[in-house]
Parts: sequence; structure tokens; C-alpha cells
Amino acid sequence: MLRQKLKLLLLVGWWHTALLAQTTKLDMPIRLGNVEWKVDQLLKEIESQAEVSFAYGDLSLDRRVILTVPVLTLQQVLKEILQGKSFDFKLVGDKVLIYPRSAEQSTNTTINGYVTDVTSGEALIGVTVYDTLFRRGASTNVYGYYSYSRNTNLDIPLVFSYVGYQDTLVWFRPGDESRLDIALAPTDQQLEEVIIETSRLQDTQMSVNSFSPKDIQRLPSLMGEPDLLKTITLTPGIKFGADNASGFYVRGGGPDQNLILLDGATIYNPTHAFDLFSTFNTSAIKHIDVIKGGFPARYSGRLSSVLDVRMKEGNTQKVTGELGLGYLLSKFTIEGPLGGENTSFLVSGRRTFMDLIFKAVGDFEPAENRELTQDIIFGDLSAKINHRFSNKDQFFLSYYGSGDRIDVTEKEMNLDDVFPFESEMDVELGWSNRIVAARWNHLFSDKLFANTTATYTKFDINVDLNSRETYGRPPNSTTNIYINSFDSEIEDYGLKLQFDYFPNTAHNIKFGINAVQHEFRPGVSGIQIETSDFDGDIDLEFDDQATSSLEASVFFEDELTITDRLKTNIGVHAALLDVEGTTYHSFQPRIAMNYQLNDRVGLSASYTEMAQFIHLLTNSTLGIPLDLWVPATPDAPPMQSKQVAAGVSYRPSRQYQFTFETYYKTMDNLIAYKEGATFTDAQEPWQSKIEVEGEGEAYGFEFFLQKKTGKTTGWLGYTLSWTDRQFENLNEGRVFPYKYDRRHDISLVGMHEVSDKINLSASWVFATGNAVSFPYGRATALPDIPALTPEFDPGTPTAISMDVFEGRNTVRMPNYHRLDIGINFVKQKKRGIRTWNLSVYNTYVNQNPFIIYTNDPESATASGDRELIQISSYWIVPSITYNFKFN
Amino acid sequence: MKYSFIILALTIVICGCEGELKSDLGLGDYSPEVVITGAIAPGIQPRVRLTTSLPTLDGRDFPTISNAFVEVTAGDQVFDLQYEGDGYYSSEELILPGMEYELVANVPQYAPVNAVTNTPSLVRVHSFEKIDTLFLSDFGMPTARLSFVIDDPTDETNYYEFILYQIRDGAVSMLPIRTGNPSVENAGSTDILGTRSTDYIQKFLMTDRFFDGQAFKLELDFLVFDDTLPLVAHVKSVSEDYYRYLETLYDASEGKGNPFIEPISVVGNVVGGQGIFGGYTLHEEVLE
Repeated sequence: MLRQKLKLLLLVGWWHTALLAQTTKLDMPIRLGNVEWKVDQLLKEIESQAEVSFAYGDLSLDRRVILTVPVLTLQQVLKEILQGKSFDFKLVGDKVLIYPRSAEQSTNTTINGYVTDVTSGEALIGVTVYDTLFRRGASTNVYGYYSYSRNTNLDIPLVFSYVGYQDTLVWFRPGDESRLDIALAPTDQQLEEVIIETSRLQDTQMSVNSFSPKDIQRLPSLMGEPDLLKTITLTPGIKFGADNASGFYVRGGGPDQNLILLDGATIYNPTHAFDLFSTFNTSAIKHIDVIKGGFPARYSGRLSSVLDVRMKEGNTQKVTGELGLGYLLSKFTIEGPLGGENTSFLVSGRRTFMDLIFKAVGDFEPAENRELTQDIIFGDLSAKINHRFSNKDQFFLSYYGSGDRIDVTEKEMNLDDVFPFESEMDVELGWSNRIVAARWNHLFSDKLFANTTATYTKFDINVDLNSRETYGRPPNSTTNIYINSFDSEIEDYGLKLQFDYFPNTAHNIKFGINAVQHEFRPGVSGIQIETSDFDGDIDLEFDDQATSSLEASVFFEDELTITDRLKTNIGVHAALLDVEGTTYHSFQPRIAMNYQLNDRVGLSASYTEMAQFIHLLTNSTLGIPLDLWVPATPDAPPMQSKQVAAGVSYRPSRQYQFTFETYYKTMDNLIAYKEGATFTDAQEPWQSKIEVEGEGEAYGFEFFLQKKTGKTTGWLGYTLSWTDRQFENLNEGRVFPYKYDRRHDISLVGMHEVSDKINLSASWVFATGNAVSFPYGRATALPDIPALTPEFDPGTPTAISMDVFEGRNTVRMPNYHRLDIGINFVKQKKRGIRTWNLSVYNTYVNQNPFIIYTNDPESATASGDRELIQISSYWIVPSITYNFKFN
Repeated sequence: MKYSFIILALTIVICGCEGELKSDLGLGDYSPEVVITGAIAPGIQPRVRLTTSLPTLDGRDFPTISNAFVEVTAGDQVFDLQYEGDGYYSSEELILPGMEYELVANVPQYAPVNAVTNTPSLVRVHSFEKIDTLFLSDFGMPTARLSFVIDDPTDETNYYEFILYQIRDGAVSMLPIRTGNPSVENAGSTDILGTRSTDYIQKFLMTDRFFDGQAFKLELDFLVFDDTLPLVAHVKSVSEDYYRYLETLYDASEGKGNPFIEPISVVGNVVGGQGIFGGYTLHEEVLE
């Protein structure tokens, strides 16, 4: 009851908070004195007093004005200045636009083109294109394309703005060539004029965090390797998994509920080396969006989030590259044009050194008559090529591959005469991702943009266990060979056609179709047994449970500008799944709204429904890749979610932005392992190992304060949240907390530019401990050998005990907290930029528990008490890496 | 299972460090409860054991209860169980088949606890046959095969427990058994032919959901440790509450210590405490 009241109170409070009074700077008094001013000097004086800046196009400043009143409002001063001139003025944010009046007849003009980075030619995603005169705008799509239409006879002042780049103002004269391709310059290249920074306050897309690889590379990182997934968990609403592993959990959802896209193709397992690193190579990445709620209709397939990662396309201007060397990973990137500006390529790869370290260290626990060797290797390769056939056609081909292999071999021998024995056991575990995406962009007109994407995705895992044992001495020896293998894979063939239609300034319409054929082999297990003693060797392959499904959908969304202050995105996603002769339908309405109270405060709200047609059978402790993807079936129908969210953004100045969001989400048809079921038992059909038709609930509040510019930047994120689950056959049917139901999550991130050559970074995280099932007590149990008769009653000595629980996930692990620091030494060299990075992970050596267990009763202390033992994943991890970007 | 431990070991080798946890995670707040363990069978005197549970971190032996008042009722039949030592309470009365029994225990300083169970009707088991064909098992041990038939009663759900043992030097030596029969709930995985389980276990638990009211033939393999000793087979028809207890206890002990398995709560029938007061009927077969 209290929780419901709290939820209601905060939802109401959100609206109330937003009703902030606004004042206009036009009424601000300006003290100028009774003097004659040159106009250009006068404008500078006004800029300093009123904290505004001017944009005035072709206005001539070569004149003087005489002010007779010592104190005037800004509005009055501007009227004095423009008296008798065919100019008018308008206040937009902190900017005063002075523009020419015209008596000519209006013409319908569509301005369109691509926005790129001036140095690399990379298309920029999400650039705001803002008409500061009519207070309307557009933004570039994921290919950097925009289109803006206006019926006017006035020159249009278009501001192109993008975080990390200089704002650029372009005056567009109606009747000019409508194609307007713009190249923006990064902020570290000082240009003459800083115009205006339009903010994302006007976006209907709420609950989104965007990152550039530069953000990620500046943060301290584990073992010096920038990690995309670990970085996104530093923002509100996104939680890390076990001991900051690379898995992530969004707004109460599970790890299976995140749609991870790389250039539009799905990645099923984004981790290397048991979650130590993410598979994303930040050197090959251009842009990252994480959407937690308010999903536009073009996204679907998962309940809780979309992680949309876009690879670089390759520098079209010149060949550049990067080399990196850490003590666990080395990497390279090379990109550049191929035979001119119309074609470019990118190749980037990483490889670990861990295998070399393990070989050098050898046996961790050397012992007589025993040899133990370990081998861990992983790496990934990204490649992309794109070609612009014309102004209307462009083609992209992306490839991504990653692989992990872990191999442990143990040999034991006993060569004495009593019991000669020799054995060798080899366990090999491997998994890999393969992705190919081919995309073709075509401009049907300056208002209709089309993208066709064909994708191929494959994720597979393999476990092999080979055992050979020999007893006795030849010729009387016996040799047994045991080979056990486990394979699983999911393979997708996808085709997507999406149109962006820009009919006028009020509408930005996206619509399209999408089809994916899934091929599942969720577990194939084979056993071979050979022996020299008996005939009848065994060679068996167990049920592979292979199946396929077809997922198809259509979507439509319209970004509708209703007034200067009110925008909405309305859409629908309709999908169907055909699997094993059963067809499921899903109709998913989406709506998001944004209302701009003033230039500093924006309100947003959204409602979305999502459906998910595949399930992940995951163990609850580690995100290790033995997790199995399986289709929704009649036994495990598709999962569904509904989410309502509301938020307010406040931007007191260019430097700071504060965002508050609250959400409430329900989830249906969830699955979970049955009590006692294990994912490693591949021979048993997966359907028999799961509980179905579970329900989930999640709600919370997210606070996000960012400092975006200046020498010191960073953010403070705080999440207060609840999430729980309910299954008929788990926890006696009662509601229980989800494992990652953490009440508090705090992240504090800071970056500071000491000089051009040195920058510092630090991040501190705090999280309430995970909810785990742990026995409160223990009790006697009937022994394994029941009381057959009183004569054979085993009595106390052999009686076993059982654990006593007070419900599922009722125990809290200790709170998690950790500080990471980093420093970069940057130096401009003749052929490029050299960077040394020093990072310290878990700086104050807080041992955050990863697994907790009790020691054996025999190990109890003298008082009879047992102890809780914790295993921590990390101690303190210092690292040093070297990077060189050549140009 | 073996994969789990290998993976866990690898994870720990790569990055783990182990130490004592300073917090008790609030586990010290646990209040001990009365624990009853016992099962009754027709023709046998009732005998149960009373102990108290302990907090997880308390490493002592379980305290036995010697001052309880324990009473069993079945219809008009009421009898007290007398303390005989080491927490055991028993009576001279004999248990009858097809009856419902309620046990009530009043323990000073604890709330009263009670449990209700029934003794299933006797079930006819016959056609025990031992096949001495030896073949190799996974462990290089000789294996033999056994079959028997249960005449399952109609119109009621029946629950069965099966064990096979030998008595060696006066002690019970359980024989590992396996089957591919899907009626055995805890048989584990079967091979592609569906004829063999890949796992040997100590007891079978099964319901009659696949053979309700029919004659049911069960074939099983067992490891032959000593073919000079007679085999003793126990087919028990157990009460539903006793079956749930055995089933969850089996699952819990199988998964204990595996960090990749959600812990399992053992389901008992003791109201106000922990444990089981179960009922069963026993068919014993001795094969020379």
C-alpha cells in the first residue's frame, strides 16, 4: 500500500515540479546610459549584460544609434536598433536572431542532405537541425540524413548542433539548391563562431542515453580496456550483473530482455572471457544509444531495452589508424578511402595475451605426478566497407566476428607397482559470434529515404570433455576413453526495409517491414565411450531439439510536431511469430510526448507495449555463455511488457542538465528455471526444465545530473527501484524479489582536463546488494537410507541435514561499491597522437562478494560457529595501456 | 554438473580471491524451530525424532528434544509416544493401513506443531526377476538388470519409492540403480534410444501418472558390487506429503553446493515447524 502511494505521489509530483514559471530575457533591463553607440559595440554590451548572443546574418552594423533613456528593456533596445530597417528579431534560448523581413511570396522549400564529420567524413547520427526562426527542426537518422521542409519567403537560419561538435549556422535562402550536406567540426578544432546549442529537451525520445566511443575511452577501465557495456551501467536505470560483469539489466528486466544491435544485426552474447570484457571494440564504434523506455515503433523484439551500436564507416578523407597495447589485450584499427571519397573501409581487431600469460605461468598448483595447463584466448574482428554510388545511393557491408576458447588439461599418473594409473582429461569451452549486415540506402526523393538491410547472425557454443584413463601395465592394462560434447547455436537470417518520410515540418514518418528466420539448436550432446576390456563401445548423440521460427513485423511511427512546444511520437508495431505450427500475434502501441515548458524545462511521457518471441535459459549466477536461446512455443508463449514512463529535464545553463524519470513496468509470460534444474544438463528437453507464465513488476525513479562542457565534465546518477517476480510453482506461488532488485544504485563519474597533455578520470559506484536465496537455518532430515526397520535405523551418525529457507531471494548480499581511477598522458607526435593510460580498478580494494557460501561444519570455529566465506572476482587491478593514433 | 564445477573453478582461478565475510547477512535473526522426522508404516510401531533447527552459522550438532509431549491420533485411536532417548519418541501401538494419522507435539518454549499423513493401502508387487547378463557401465563396473511389476490401484494417485540394497557386515549398502523409464521422476536424462538413464542414483521416486490403475513393469540396471550377497528390494507406496518431501530433499541434496542451481526448499508437512511425518507401506523382496 505504501509503495503504491509512493508511486502515485511521485507520478503526480513530476507534473507539479514541471509547472515552473518562466520569464523572458526580452524584459530584462539593460543599462546603457545616454550615449551614442556603434551598433556592433552596443550588441557586445548587451551580450555581456543580458547573457545573450546575437546572430544577424546580412544585417549591416555600420551605423550608430543614440539612446536617450539610460535604462531600457532588451526588447526596447532592439527596437531602437532596428528602427527603419527591414529586419525583425526573435529570442531563441539565449540567442537573439535578427533576420530580414521580406514581402516576396512564400515558396515551399525542402532542405535535405547528410551531416558528416569534417575530419573523417563519418556520417553523424542524431544531429539536431534546428530552424531558429520558426522554431522547428529535424534530426539526422542513423545514416546521417535529414530533411526539413518550410513554406516561407524568408531566409532560414539552420543550426546544426551535435554534442562534441561546433554548432554551425547556415542561412538558407528559399530557391537555392535544396541539397545541403554539412560537415561539422569537432569541438577541439576552434572555429570562429559558437552559435547555439539546442538541447535534447525537445526530443520525444525519452529514456535514452547516448554515448560516443570518446566518452568510453576516457573513463577508467578494467585492465585498461574501454568497455561499452560497463560504461552504460554507470547511468541510471541500467544495472550491472554479478560483480560488475559485462551483462546488464534494465529497469527490472532480465539479461535476455535487451536487444543488442550492431549495425542492425542482433548480437546474442556480447561478452568475452566469462563476462570480463564486452565484445564491442570501441575503436570501431561510432555511436551508441541505449533506450530504456518510450521505445519508438521501429524497435521491437525485447521487453526492456535496445542497445543500438553503430560501427564507423571508415574515414573518407585519408587513411588513419590506431594501435593499442595493454597487458591483456592488443588491438589495431585501420580505416581510409578506397580510390576516392566515395568508398571507404575500416578493419579493426583485438586479441588477448592471456594465453601467453597462462603458458608463461604454467601450472598454478604444481604437484608431483600431475600436470595442469590452461589456455584462454579470445579476440574479435570488425570490418566494414561502404560505397556511395551517387547522391541517392549508398551501400554498406559490415562484418563482425568474435571468439573465445578456454582449454584446461590435467594429466595424472601413478607409476608405482601397486596401482599403476595414468589419466588425462581435457575440457574445452568455446563460443563465438558471427554477424554480417548488408545495407543499401536510397533516396527516392528529398522527402523519402529508404534503407534495406539484410543480416546474418550466428552464435554458437561448444563444450568438449575428453577423458582417457589407463589402469595397470601392458599387456594387462585397461584403457577407457570417454568423450562428451555439448553444442548449441542460434542462427538468424533477417531482412528489413525501412522508410523515412518527411512530408512537412510537422511530420517525420517512419514505416517498414521486418522478417527474421531463427534456427535454434539449443543443445546437442554426444557421448563416446571406448574400452579395451569389453566390446560394445558407445557412440551416441542425444536429442538436438532443433527447431526454427519465423518472426515478421510491420511498423509505423510519426514524429508529430503539434505546436512549438508540444511534440509527440505515435506508432504501432505489429508482429507475428510462426513456430512449430503455432502462430502468435502481437499488437504493440507506442506513444511518447514532449512538452517544452520553456527553453530550460521539458516534460516527457511515454507508454509502450513490447513483445519478445525468444527466451533465454540462463543460469541465475553468471552470464556465462552456456545460456541457451530458445523460441517461444506453446509451452513457453511469448513474453510481453507494458511500460509507462514520465520525466522532466531541466537545463539551467549550457553546462548542466538534470533529468528525472519515473517508470512502471509489468512483464508477463516470463520463464525461469525450475528449482533444481541446471542448464548444464543438456540431455533433458529445455521445456521440462522451466517454469512458465511468470509475472514481473518493476518501478523506480532515476535522477541524472550531467555536466557536459568545460574542463571538468561528468555525471551523477541515482536510481531508486523495485522489481519482483511471481511464478505459480516458485516460492510457493508468492511474489519474490528479482535477483537484481537493488534498491539504490549510485554512479559518480568525473573527467578533468588538466592540460592538453593530461586528463584524469574517476568513477565510483554503489549498489545495494543483490537478492539471493540463502538458508537462514538448517535442520535434521530423513537420511538417504530411510529407516527400513528399527534394526537398520541409521540414527544420528548418518542422518543428513537440510537447509531452511524463508523464501526465495530474501537475503541481501553486502552492498557493492568500487572506485576506479585513470589518467591519460597525451602527446602529439609527428605522425599522430600517442596516449599512455594508467588505470586502477577497485582502487581502495573493496572486496565485493561474488559468491557466498558457508564453510563445512568440520571447519567451524572453537565456539561451534560456522563462517560465511566470500569469493570476490576482483581485488585491485592496476593496468597500463599504450595507444597510438596515426594520421 | 561436471561442467558447472569446471567453469566455476576456471572463474576462480582467473580472477577470484576468497575470504571471510564480515557481515552475517542478517542470518543471525533466525529463530530455531521444532523439527520432526519420522515415517510410519502399517504393522510397525510409530517412531519419530524431535530436534530443533539451528541458525545456518551455528555449527553445533542439532539439539534433541527430550521434554516434549507427543501424541498420535487416528480416528478414535489416540496414543502417546514415549521418549526413548536421543530425541526419539515411540509407542507400542501398531500402525494400521489406509488410515489418516495426526501427530501433535508440544515442546516447552515453542509453539505446538502438528502434521497429518496417511498410510497408503498395500500394493501388490510381483514378478521380480533378476537378469544376470553382465555388461559394462560408465564406471567399468559390471552391471545386472532387474525387473518387477506393480499392480497399481485405480481411482487414486499413488506414489512410490524404490531402493535396492545388500546387507554387508550388518550394514545397509545401497546399490546404484538406473532406468530409462519416464515414470521415474528422478531418473535423470536418458539416451537417444530412451532406454537408459545416463545417471546412477540410490532411489527411484515415481507416481502412477503414466500407468494409473494398470500393471506397470519397471526394468532397471544396477551395479554389482558383490554377487554373493542376496539383494533386498523395497517397493514403498508412500503418502503424497512424504513423496513431496523425498522428492524435494533429493533435489536439494543433488543441487547442494552447485552455484548454478537455484537452491531448493524441502517441502515438509509439519505445521509450525520443519520436517516430515510421512506414511508408507512396504513390499520387501529378497533375491538370492
